[in-house]
Amino acid sequence: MIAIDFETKRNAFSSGEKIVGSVRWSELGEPVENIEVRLIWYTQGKGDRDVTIVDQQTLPATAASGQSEFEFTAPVGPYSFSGKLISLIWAIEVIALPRRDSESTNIVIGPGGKEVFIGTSEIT
Amino acid sequence: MIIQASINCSFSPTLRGEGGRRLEEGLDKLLRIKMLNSTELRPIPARENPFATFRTDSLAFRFPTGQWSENLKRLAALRYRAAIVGPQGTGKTTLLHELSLKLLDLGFNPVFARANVELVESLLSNIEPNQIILLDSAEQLPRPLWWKLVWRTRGRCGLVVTVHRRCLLPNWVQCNSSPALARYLLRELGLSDLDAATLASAFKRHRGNVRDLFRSLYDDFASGKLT
Repeated sequence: MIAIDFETKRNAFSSGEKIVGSVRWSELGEPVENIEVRLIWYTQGKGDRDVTIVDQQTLPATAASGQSEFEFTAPVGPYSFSGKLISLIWAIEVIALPRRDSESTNIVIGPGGKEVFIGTSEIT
Repeated sequence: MIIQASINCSFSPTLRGEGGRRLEEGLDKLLRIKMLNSTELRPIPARENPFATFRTDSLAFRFPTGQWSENLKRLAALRYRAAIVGPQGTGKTTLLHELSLKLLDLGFNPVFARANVELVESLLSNIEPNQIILLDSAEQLPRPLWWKLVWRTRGRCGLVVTVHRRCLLPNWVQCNSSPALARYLLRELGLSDLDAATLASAFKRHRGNVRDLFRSLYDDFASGKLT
């Protein structure tokens, strides 16, 4: 099991804000060599999906269970946004090597920590 | 204070295709499809559209007969040289992708390629042992190159292709679609209650092309016609 926790009470951030959190892992079956934590964005919607790794950190790990901290800075852009055809979603993704067990948690990066909606003002 | 994030995305975006992909939490609940009139249109964001590509791409191929084990035995009996035949939008490419993973598990060296002259020439000049070429849309190759590919790989490596009509290779799977299959796939997407007549009409309008049908339903959800 892999769990991602944030040090703040929210998982929405403004550009330039620190994204600080921790990763806990346990019961992964065999010792973990490294924990890779990635700050990524990906798209969802109609058509092909894009994925971009914006930043990543490799956390030292030598046991099948443990906890480690990570810290990123929320980039200037692109903002989290949604329209009818495409959504851009930021996420923290964790991969335990060498087995490649993984977990990810969506976050929002936008003005005032809010997702931008395009052409869909009715969406709440 | 440390708190658990409340929104979890239960698939790994960058490990897609490596077993880390799963449907998002929100899809676990069944959605009921309802036609709306123009005064009640409620557009939804792309990330919530049940026909977003990452969801439709995660649908598994459904064999017309048998399961993977029987069909893999048949492919082995054909020495891994065969064709997946069927009209557009009936799952041929999906099956070819899934076959690629199965062959990897079996210890083969599958190479997935789209019909591209340079790529096929390059594959032909460097055939490796244990290799199985998986060629999508083989009929798009110039005919002389297609013959060359079949001839040069004979006895040297596997070759599984997708085509719309019978070809030089024996049929492995004949893909077809039907309203019943479309309904089954909708249920797999967590959707129910699109009435049979509406689905049959949409299926007919798209000439049985399930991929186009799903794209059209995406638009209906995006514009709020369906909810």
